[in-house]
Amino acid sequence: MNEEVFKQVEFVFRQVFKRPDLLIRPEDTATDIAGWDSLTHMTLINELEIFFKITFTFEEVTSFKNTGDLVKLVTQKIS
Amino acid sequence: MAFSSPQFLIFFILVCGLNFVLKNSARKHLLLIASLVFIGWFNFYTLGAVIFFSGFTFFIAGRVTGDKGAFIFYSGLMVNCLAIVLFNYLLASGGLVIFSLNAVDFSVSALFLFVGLSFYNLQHVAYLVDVRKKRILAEKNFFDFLLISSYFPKFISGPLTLYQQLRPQINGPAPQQIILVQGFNRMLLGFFKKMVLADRLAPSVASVFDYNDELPGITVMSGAILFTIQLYFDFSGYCDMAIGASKMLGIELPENFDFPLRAGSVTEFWRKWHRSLIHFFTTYIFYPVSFRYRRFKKQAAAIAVILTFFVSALWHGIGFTFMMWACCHMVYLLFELYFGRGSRPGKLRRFISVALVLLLVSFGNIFFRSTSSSGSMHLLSRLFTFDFLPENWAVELLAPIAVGGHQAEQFNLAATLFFVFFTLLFERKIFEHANVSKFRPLITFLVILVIFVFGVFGNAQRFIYMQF
Repeated sequence: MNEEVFKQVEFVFRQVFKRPDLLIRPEDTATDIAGWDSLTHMTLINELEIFFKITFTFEEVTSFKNTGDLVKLVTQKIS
Repeated sequence: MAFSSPQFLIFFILVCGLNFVLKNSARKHLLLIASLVFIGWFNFYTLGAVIFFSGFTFFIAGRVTGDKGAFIFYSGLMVNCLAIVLFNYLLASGGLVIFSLNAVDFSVSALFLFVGLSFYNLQHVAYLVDVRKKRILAEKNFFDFLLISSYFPKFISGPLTLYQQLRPQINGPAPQQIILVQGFNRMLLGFFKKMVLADRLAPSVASVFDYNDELPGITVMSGAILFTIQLYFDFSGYCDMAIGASKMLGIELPENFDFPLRAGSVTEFWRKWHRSLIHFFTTYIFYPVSFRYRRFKKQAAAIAVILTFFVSALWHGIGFTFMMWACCHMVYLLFELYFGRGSRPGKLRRFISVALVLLLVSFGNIFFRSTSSSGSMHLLSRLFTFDFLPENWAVELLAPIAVGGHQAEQFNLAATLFFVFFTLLFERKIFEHANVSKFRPLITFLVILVIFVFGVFGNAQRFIYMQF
């Protein structure tokens, strides 16, 4: 896993969930991170798209299982 | 032939026994025949509708992909959605189908005219969307499709099961003995929830909701809380029976509840309540809408919440009461969306949050439970009056809830509340025990004894979610 991308994704998580001290792990799912649910999911996706200047498809944003998968997806998109 | 009826038990023992001894290749034929018999037992109208809609959806599913398939796809969606709306309209109209939650005059035969079609057609909608989006391939074998659509443990009220969840399982092996024990334990939990908890609460709830009495606000609110608990045990009990029965036939159904009365926010409540339906609405309405308009950030989620609950209200029934119920949840969720659900609180704050969520959900359920708009407005008016607290607690609170003012009725209520609070308090432990694969004769005997001594018999045909 790309450590630099992981740190950048973590930065976006902190901004979206307004928690400057938030630490994410690759195995984290929505149930592990307070505030990450269906209401905030697309806001997170939108912020990631803006930050990395990428575009996700609908199938992509509804298929990843944890933050590790999300980081891999972002890494694929920017490389 | 509801799950808690004697006819079903005989039918199920026969099917389960045959399923256990038959060859793998023959099992799905048995399950198909059993499902059609189960549906036909209610009436032939439902069986006819099931075969018609399965044939229609099977036929068009192979033609919905690509540019040329768009018209056929939308026609298929329209037909299945119209069937749901028509079914709900028939329920609401009162002309053809009379349904009342009133414990006294409950018209079972009329309700069963098109039982289960709302759940059934919703699964076809999901199937058509998934084939169109190329998430799955269209089924080639009509009889396999008919079995997946009409599989009897989940037919009447779910759990709403997607095609791709059942397809890999219908050719699977017969269940091992330990799975049979697990399924039996789970069914027993369902019988306990339905007959000892939900059905014992039903008269107290009916006493508050069905007689238009001038009750004080606290009695109305207590009735609404009891209804929320009754609905939970009635529906989750039904799902325990469905999941357990299906497990005994070698097919896993998705879980439908995750201890929702312990939710610390309404958002969390909707992750834990009727999960299979919420998964459907999230996947096929909420996410597509909020994804399309995601550049509007929170406003996109707000639009998606409003649309999702609007559709959910229509799915539950046509009329003012379901729309008002949906509006309550729209307000709760939008409030949490814009003002946050906060970080994880301590034990005391968590307890207060759980109590507050129960109150909010119960308030919304005043509309959900009311049989008419005037009835719901009457109850609402009683909540917002100066006599919220009664002058005589025994007469104005205890007597309506206990359905009588005598000691015997009050003892009956005390026993009911004891079982309810005991179950709620040790819910997780009880659930773990119900999922063990070991046969425990003493515990099984005790649970059956409690069901026979304290359970309500004669309500076998009445599951609240059968109306949807």
